[in-house]
Amino acid sequence: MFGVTKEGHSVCAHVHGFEPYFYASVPENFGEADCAAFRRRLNEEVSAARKNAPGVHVVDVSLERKQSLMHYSDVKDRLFAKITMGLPNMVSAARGILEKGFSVPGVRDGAFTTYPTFESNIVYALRFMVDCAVVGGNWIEFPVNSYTVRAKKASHCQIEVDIMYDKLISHPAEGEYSKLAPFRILSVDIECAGRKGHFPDAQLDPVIQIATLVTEQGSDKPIIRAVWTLDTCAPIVGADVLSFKDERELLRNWGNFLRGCDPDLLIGYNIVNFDFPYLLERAEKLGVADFPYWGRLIGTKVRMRDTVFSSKAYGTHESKEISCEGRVQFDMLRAIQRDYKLSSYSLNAVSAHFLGEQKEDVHYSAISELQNGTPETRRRLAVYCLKDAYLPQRLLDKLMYMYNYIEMARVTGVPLNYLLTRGQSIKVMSQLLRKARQRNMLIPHHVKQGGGNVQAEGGVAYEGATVLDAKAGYYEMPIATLDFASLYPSIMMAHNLCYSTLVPKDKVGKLNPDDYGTSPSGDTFVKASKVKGILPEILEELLGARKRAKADLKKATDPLQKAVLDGRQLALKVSANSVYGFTGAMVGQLPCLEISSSTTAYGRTMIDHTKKMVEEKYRTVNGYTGNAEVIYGDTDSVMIKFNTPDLAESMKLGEEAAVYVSETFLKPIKLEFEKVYWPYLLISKKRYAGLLWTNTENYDKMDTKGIETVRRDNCLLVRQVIETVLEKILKQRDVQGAVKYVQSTIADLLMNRLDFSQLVITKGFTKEADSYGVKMAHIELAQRMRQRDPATAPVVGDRIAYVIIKAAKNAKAYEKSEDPIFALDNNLPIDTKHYLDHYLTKPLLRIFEPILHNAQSVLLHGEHTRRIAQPTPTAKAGGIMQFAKIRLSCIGCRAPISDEKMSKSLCKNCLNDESQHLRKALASVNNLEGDFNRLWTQCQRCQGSLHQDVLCTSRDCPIFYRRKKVQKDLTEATAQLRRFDW
Amino acid sequence: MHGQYFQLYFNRLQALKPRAREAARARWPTMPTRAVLELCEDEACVIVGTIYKDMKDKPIILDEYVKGYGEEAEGAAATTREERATYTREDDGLEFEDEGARVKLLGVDAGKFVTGVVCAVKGKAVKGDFLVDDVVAYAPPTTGEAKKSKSEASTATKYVCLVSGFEIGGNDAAASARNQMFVDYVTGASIAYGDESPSDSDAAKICRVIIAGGTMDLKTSSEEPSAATSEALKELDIMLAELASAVPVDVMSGKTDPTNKAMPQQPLHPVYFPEASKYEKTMCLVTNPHDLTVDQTSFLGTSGQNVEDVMKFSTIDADDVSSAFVGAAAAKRPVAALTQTLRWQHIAPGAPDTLACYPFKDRDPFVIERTPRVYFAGCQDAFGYERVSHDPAAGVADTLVVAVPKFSSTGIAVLVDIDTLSCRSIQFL
Repeated sequence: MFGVTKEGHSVCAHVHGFEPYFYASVPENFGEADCAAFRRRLNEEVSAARKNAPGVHVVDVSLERKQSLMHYSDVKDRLFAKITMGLPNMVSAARGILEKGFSVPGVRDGAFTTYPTFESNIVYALRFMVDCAVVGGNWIEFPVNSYTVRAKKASHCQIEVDIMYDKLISHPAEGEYSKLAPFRILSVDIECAGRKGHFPDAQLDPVIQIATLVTEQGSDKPIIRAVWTLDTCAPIVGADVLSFKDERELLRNWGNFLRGCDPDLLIGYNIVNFDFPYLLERAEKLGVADFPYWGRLIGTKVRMRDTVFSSKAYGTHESKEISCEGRVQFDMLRAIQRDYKLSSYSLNAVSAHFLGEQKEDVHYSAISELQNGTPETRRRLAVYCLKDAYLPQRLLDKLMYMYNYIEMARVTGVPLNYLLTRGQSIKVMSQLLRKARQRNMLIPHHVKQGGGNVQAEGGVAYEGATVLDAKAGYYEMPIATLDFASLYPSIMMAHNLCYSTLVPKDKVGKLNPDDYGTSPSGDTFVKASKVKGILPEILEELLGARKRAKADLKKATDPLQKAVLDGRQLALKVSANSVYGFTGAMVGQLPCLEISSSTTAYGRTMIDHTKKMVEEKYRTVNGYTGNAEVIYGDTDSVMIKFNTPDLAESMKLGEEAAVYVSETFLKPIKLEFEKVYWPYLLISKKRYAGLLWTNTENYDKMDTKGIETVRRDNCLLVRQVIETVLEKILKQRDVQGAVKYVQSTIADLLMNRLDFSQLVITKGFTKEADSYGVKMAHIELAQRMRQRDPATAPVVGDRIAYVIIKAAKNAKAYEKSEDPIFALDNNLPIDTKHYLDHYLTKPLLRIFEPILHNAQSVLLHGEHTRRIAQPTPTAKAGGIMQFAKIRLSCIGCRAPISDEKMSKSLCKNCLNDESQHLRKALASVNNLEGDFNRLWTQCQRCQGSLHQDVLCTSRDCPIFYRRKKVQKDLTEATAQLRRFDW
Repeated sequence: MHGQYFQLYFNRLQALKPRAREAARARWPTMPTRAVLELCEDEACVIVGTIYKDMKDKPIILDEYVKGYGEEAEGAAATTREERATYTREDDGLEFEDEGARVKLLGVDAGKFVTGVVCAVKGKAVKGDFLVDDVVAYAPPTTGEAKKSKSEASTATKYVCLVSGFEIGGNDAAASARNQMFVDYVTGASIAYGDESPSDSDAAKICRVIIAGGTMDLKTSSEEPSAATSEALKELDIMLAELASAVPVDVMSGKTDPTNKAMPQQPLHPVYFPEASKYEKTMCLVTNPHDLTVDQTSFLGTSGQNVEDVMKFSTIDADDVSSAFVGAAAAKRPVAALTQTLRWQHIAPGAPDTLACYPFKDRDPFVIERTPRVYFAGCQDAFGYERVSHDPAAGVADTLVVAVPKFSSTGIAVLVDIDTLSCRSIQFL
C-alpha cells in the first residue's frame, strides 16, 4: 500500500496477513467434518489445474451462515463454505473447479456436485479495501507500536513500514480527514525527431526532449521545471536545462530523476498511449537496461501491454496499459474524453476550450529541423515542450480533477486509478460489496454468457425510456419544464427495487398481497415495509450525501472548499445514476433485467401520468388563463405550455403543478419545477433550443440540444450560422433578422466572400486507406497528397483538413476534397454549392421549418442565390485553362484592355471613373491589410516571441487558414492596386 | 509577397540595440550587459531588448470566433472595439525580449510603456523574473543637422504652416467657408488678421504648407464609393489647387483619407486631384509618416495614428508632459505621448502589434534615424507644443514637438518659424 503523509513524505506499507477468500454455497447437511475433505479435494484439483504444482493452495475451508443477495427469500440464512486461498490468483482456478463441479467423499455420498460460488470475482485489492473499510484516497492511521519500520527498504518511498492488516485504522473522509493529501504530481511531455513524412517511430526516431514539471497538490506553482535535451540547448529562464550528447544518458538520467523525485501521480497529455510507450520502447531499442524501473518497488520493471477498454458509457478504446507500482497515471486526454464532449481533443483545442487560449502547435516535421539547428532553436523547442508539459497541470487544476476524482474514489470506495481505467460498474460493485457485508449477504458470481448470446439478449432486453411525441414548433409563450429529480434512483427507492427484494415469479403466490408491488413490466418486488433493499439503501445514502454536500456548498464561502463540495455532489449524482445502469448492463457483473426494466417502466407510466394530470387540471374551465398542453416529454422531464404569455405566471403554475403531481407519487419521487424556456424552438425528439429562465428578471442562457452546434466533423460555417440563427431567433426574437442573416450568409458563400477557415472540415486519419471499406474524401486526399509530396503528406494519426472544391462534372464526392493550403495556393475554386446543399440545407431547414411555412424557398432559392462568384481558374486547376493566354483585363468592367499604354488598370470606357475604381480597389486592400495585421500579430503574440518567426501550424486554430489566405489575397490585391500607376 | 512581422521587430532591435546599449553604458558605466539567456540569479546587470506588454484587454482577433461570425459580419464587434479610448488595466505586465529569450520585468510601471519599445533596463534576475531598479535607458537621439548659423542673407522670417483634419465631406457650408478662409489667408487673398498689413503679414512668410492627414473624412470604408465622396474630392481638389498655386503644399495621407490604412500610408493618388496635380512642382502628395527638410530645418511627422495608439495602450497622460509645454490642456496628453516616442527613438512602437503596418523584411522605417528639429502629429483634438532639449552630451539641437489640431473642429493652423522654432497658432472662426 502506498501513500503520502500530511507533510508530503511518501510511504510504502507492507500489509501482511490478508488472505484471499470466497464463498461457495453448500448443502445444508454439509458438516464441519466435511470441510477437511472438501479442502483436500479442492487442493488436489487446484494442484492439477496448476500443472501438478505441489503445496497448499487452499488454506482453509470453514462454514458460515449467510444469505444470498439474489431474490427475496423468507429463509434468513443458509450454509456457505468460506474458502481461503493461498494466493489471489488461485481464486479463479478454484472457482472454475467448483462451478464445473467435482466430487468430494462424504458429501452427497461422493456424488459429482457443482457449487455456485459467491464473491469469487472480486479483485484482491478491492476485497482488502472492503474488508478493512478502506476507500480510495482516504486517510489511514497506523497506531503507535502496531508497525515496524523497515531498515532495508524495498521501495523508493521515504518511509517504509510493515503492519498486520487488522491493525490499520481507516478514517472516513470527514472533518479533518476530508483534506486531500499533498500528492506529488509529475507532468511530462516528450518530443521526438521524426523522419520526414513519418510519424515518429520508437524503433527509429530518437527522443530529443523530455520536459517535466513537478507540483505538489494544493500549491499553484510547480516546484521543479526541467527539460532534458539531446544535444546542447540555450538556457531557459525559470527552468533547469539538462543537455546530453547521448540519448541513452538522457533516458537514464530522466529515469533517475523520476525515481528520486518519487511522484504519486504521473500526468500528461496522451501519455498512456504515446509518451510512456515511446520512452519504454525507445529505451529497449537502445538497450538502456536500467531505464524501465518507474515503479516504487525497487527492481520491479514496468510492464506494458495492449488492452481494449470497453464500456457502454465511454465507448471502446484501444490503449496501452502500463504497470507502474505505486504511481497513478492520470492521462488528461483520457479524463477529458471521458468527462467532456468536445469537437476536438487535441491539446490545442482542449486548452482553447478550458483555458481560453490557443496553443502554439509545432508540426512534428518542423521539430526535426529545430533539433538540427542551433542551441537557440533547440531552446525554442524546449520552451514549447515545457509549455506542453505545463498545460496538463493547468488543466488538472482548472478542472479540479484531483478534488473530483478523489471525492469519487472516496464515495464509491475504489482506488483512484480504477476511475480512469475501469468503467462505472466496478464502483457500484464496490458499494454493493460493502453494503452486503454489513447485512451478512453474499453476492453471487454471475457467469457471463458468450459474446454472441449477449448481443441477442441485449437486443430484446427491455424497453427504454419514454419520449412523448414532440409537438414541433416555435413557441413564443413560456414553456415550463418539470423535471423528476434523480428519476431512476428515486423510482428504485420508492418501489424498493433491488436484487434482494425481487420475488421469483413462482414464489409470488406465497406472499401476502400487501407485502409486494408489481411493476408495470410485470416483475414483483417486496415492499420496504417487509424488507428494505440494498440498492435503495445505497441510493439513499448517495443522494443523502449529495443533499448534504449541496447544502454545504450553499454555505461555503471559500472557493477551494466550494470546489471540493461541488466535486463531491457531482460525483454522488453520477454514482447514483450508475446504479441503474449496473443492473441493466448485460455484460456487467450482476445484471438483473427485472430491476432495470421495472425502473424504466415506472418512469414511462409516470411521464404519461403527469401529462394526463396536468392537462386535466390546467384548463380554462377550472379558472386558468389557458388550456395547458404538454408539448414534449423526455425520460425525466415534461414540457408544459400553460398557454399564458406571462413568464411569472408560467413559473408560478409550474411550481404549483410540480407539487400537485408529486403528491400522487410514492416518496421520494418528486417532480420539480426547474426552468422555463421562453421562447422555445422544438424541432423534433431530442432536438430543441430555447432561452432558459429560472427567474423573471434575466434569462440564464441559451440551451440547445441535439442541434449542429458542437459536432466536430462540421465546418465552422455550419456551427456559426446555426448559432447566430438561434441567437437571433431566441434572444433577439428577430425571425426576419435571422432569415436575412441566412440569406446574406448564403449570398456571401456563393459569392466566395466567406472566411476560408470556416469552410475547412477536419477528419481523423485513423487507419490506412485499404482498411476502409468505402472511399472517404479525406482518405483519398491523403493519398493524393502523398503522391504530390510524401514528406509533408498526412500519416495515420493525423487529422486531415480539407475543403470541397469544384471538380470536373460528375466527379465523386470523395474526389472533390482538397488540401486547403493547396487549394489556396492554386486558386482552386471552392464548391460553394456543395457546402450549401450538403452542410447548410438540412440543419437550417430543421430549424426554420417549424417557424416558416416556406422555409425552403425563402432561405435557399431567393434572390440572394442568384449571384455567384468564382475566382479565375489557374492552369493548375486543369481543363481548358492550360491553354489560355493571360491578358490584362479592366479592373472596372473586366473587358480586356486594348491599349496598355494608356492605362494598365482600366479600359477606355472606365478611365473616366478612375478615381472611383481606385477607391474600390483600395477598400479591399484596406480590409485585407487590417486582417493581415490582426492575424499575424496575434500569432506573434501567441507564440510568445517577437523576434522569431511564427512556426505554428495548428490546424485547429481558426486563424491558421485565414492568415494564409489573407497573405495571398493581400499580395494579389496590392498587385492590382499597383496597376493604377501608383 | 507579404511575409511575417518578426523581421520588423528583429530589424528594429538591430537598429536600436547598439544605441540603447551605448546609452546604458553612459548611464551605468560599470554595469555589465547581459543577454537574457545569460542572466544569473541575483547578479546586477543591464539587459537590452524589446518590450512586450501583456494586456488582458487588448483586443484580439480570436474574440471574433468566440462571439460568432454573425456579429462580426455586421461590424458590431469591430466598432465596439474601436470605441474604447484605452485598453490599459492595473494588472498589465511587461515582458522583455532580446534575440534569444524573454523574461518578465518586475518593478516598473507597465502603464508607461507600449509593446515594441526598445530600451535598456538595469536590475537583477530574481526567481526567473527580472527585477528592474527603476531606471531605463533609451537610445540617445542621433545628430540631425548641426545647429544652423543664421546666414545674414536670410534674416527674413520663414514659416512652415502645419495644418490637418479638414475632413472635407461633411457637406457643411460653414466648414467650407472656414476652409476657404484658410486658403485665402495662405494665398494672400484675404486681409490679414489683427493689424498686420497684407504685405507684411505672416501669411506672406509661409514658405510651405504641410497638411498632416485628414483631408477627407472617410469613416466608412464601404466598398461602393459614394457620390458624396466624389463631390468631396472635387472640393478638395480645388482647394489644393488654390493652395499649390501660391506655396508648396505637402499633403500627407491620414487615417480617414482614401489610401491604404496600414502604416506607412502611401500618398494619395494624383488621380483624385486632376486640378491640383497640374501644379507639379508645388503639389506634393506624400506618405505618412513624412519627413522633409525646409531650409536645413528637418521636419518629421505623422497624421496622428502613432499618438492615438500610444494613448490607447499606455497610461501616459497629461501629467507626463514637461513644464515646457505650451497650449491647450487637451493637447497635454498627445504631446506627452509624442514626446515619448521621440525619446523611444521610434515613431510608432505599437506597430505592428496594435497599429497596422506593412511587414517590412529588411528594415524598420519607423526608427528615428536622425533627430528632427520639428516633430509633429496631425489630427489631434487641440493645439499644444513643447520644446524638448536633448542630453547635452549628444550634441543634438532641441526638437519642437507639436500636436497639430484638427482644423475641422478647432479652425486652428500652426505656424512654425523655421529658424527660431517659435510656434504659434492662428485660428479661423
